[in-house]
Amino acid sequence: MADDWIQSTLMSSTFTYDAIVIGAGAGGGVTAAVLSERGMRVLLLERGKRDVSLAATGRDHLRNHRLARHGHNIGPELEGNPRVFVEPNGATRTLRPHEDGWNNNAMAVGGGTSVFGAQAWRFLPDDFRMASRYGVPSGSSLADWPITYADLAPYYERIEWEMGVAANDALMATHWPRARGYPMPAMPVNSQGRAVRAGAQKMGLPVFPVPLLINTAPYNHRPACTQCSFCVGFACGVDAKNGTQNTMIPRALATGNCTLLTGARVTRITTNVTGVVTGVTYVDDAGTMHDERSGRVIVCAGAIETARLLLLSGSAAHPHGLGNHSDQVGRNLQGHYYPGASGLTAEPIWDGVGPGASTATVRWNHGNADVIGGGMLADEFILLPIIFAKSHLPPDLSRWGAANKAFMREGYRRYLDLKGPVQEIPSPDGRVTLDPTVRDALGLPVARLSGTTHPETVRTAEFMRQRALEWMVACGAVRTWSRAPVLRLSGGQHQAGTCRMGADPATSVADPTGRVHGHANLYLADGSLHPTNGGFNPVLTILANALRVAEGIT
Amino acid sequence: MTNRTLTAVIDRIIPADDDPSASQAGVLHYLDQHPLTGISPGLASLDAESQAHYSRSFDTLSSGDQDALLTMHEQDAWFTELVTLTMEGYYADPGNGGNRDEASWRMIGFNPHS
Repeated sequence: MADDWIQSTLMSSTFTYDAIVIGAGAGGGVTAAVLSERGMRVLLLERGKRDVSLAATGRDHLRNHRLARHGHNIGPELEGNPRVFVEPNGATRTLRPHEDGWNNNAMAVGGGTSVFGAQAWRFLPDDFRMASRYGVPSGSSLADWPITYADLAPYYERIEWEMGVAANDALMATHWPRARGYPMPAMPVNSQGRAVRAGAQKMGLPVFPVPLLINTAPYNHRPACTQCSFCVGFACGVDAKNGTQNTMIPRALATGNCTLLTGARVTRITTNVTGVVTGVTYVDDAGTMHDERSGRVIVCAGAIETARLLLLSGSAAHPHGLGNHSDQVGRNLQGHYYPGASGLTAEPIWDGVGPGASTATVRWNHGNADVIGGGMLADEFILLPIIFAKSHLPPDLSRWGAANKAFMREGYRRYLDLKGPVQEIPSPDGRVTLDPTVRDALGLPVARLSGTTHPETVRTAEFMRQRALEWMVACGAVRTWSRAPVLRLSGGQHQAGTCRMGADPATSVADPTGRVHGHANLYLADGSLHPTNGGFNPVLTILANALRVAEGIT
Repeated sequence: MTNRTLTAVIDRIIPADDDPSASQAGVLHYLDQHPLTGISPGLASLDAESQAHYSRSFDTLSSGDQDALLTMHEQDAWFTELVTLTMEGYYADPGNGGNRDEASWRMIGFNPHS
């Protein structure tokens, strides 16, 4: 019966839209482009705003997606969107979106890609088989991906060309063999990058330029990067940073088949009496509720909100939420630990040439004795002075007074920072649920974040911290410092894992094609699908996997 | 009274030397945008302590005596919050009200490429 209904609806011309895509970030932007270019009529719903230009979002040093203590430049709105965060000791905090623990990723057209640092990493082959390579530690939900690196490689390459990645062909090919190069050469290095390259050479560490979704030459009718000092956390002043807002979504709109609505908040995925997905309800920017039917729904709201929406969409046929028959929705929330090392050089080296993040090594992503996995290490983006003052000073330096001021004056231009994302070992207890009492402005239960990553993550992070310190010493730092990792929950801009894909419906939410188990027409196409999240910035993997999922949608 | 105390305290958080102090760089303008409700009682009690120990208001003490009193309070929530706000006013962009003429950026050598 359900199949009959699907067949009839897929053929139906009575619906306004063939597909509804929820969220216009990385995954949703790709999905909307693929489906609308195939001729489907697509409704792309985005809760945030449409204009993410620098003129509209600004360069406030205290309200951006690198430092959000008093707000941020790109959504969601600070009021009416709380989440609840449960500390490891059980204490709960109700938070606004810019506060620590809320775990925000920019919500707007382009999502995180509107303000990201644009690091364009493929995962390594072993990142897709973590359980097979290392075994599953007790208490962990570590799992292999249901697809291999080879399955995703063609989609990575297409994203690299269609959106535009700048990288060094020969050096990248030593780690990710490839027939075709990159569309643009690597970003020119700044003076800090030259210092960390010299340090790497001294210790025999293989390094190469960080691949970036940034134009280093005119590409896709937009100019090259001017290497300003304000990249990550802000919109690009010359539109040289390649997010879905200036690549995939314009492509979708150019077909004439895609309708993009901003300020639109999906409240529920609707189902009929037999439990078949029939569309969504959403509230538009004027506050009017709509009930929109469609033959296909693709959820791309980010790992936290995708899980929340599935949990909010329960019915008699799905009493625990959609896709949640095995109590898997919302579990295994992952982001990244970012261990690293700070160092002070003997002489000033800062030249202000952006974006920073010039030089990386993948020497320690795998094959480390006594720890599971590892991660990439690279130098940091250009730091705003207030970010340097808040979170990069030596721990034994007074937070105030003449000594603090003297260190700021002498230290800013002598500072190096090496850091990188550690592949997390997931725990089923690190999770998103619906809070039993706190509601958002629409009266819906908010996301409640609880648990922690698995303790093995902390061991790997400590291992990587020691490697960063070694590299920093090799760079000639006259003084080094760093902070030891502690057990906690991650999410934030690299959030992933809450609706993992897998072959077994008992241990996963979606099948290997991204289709939610038990549903013929409900798909996911964002970081929630990742069984593990790599030791890399995950955005290129989200984009490539969305391309793979979208092309498989029937 | 409290405003004199506030100015004196933020000018110990970022004192004057060859480069401007917090108040000289306009940090009070930045603080105007933030409610100091959690900070004002701390400033009042600091001034009371100053009167008790030295029979003088805090702002008239020597910088050494001011630092000695503040060191006793450096773990207090009101003081750590005032330190945070003062640093924000001094080192963030002038659009936020402080960092007059980009004084702190010139001091540390932040000369942004736009």
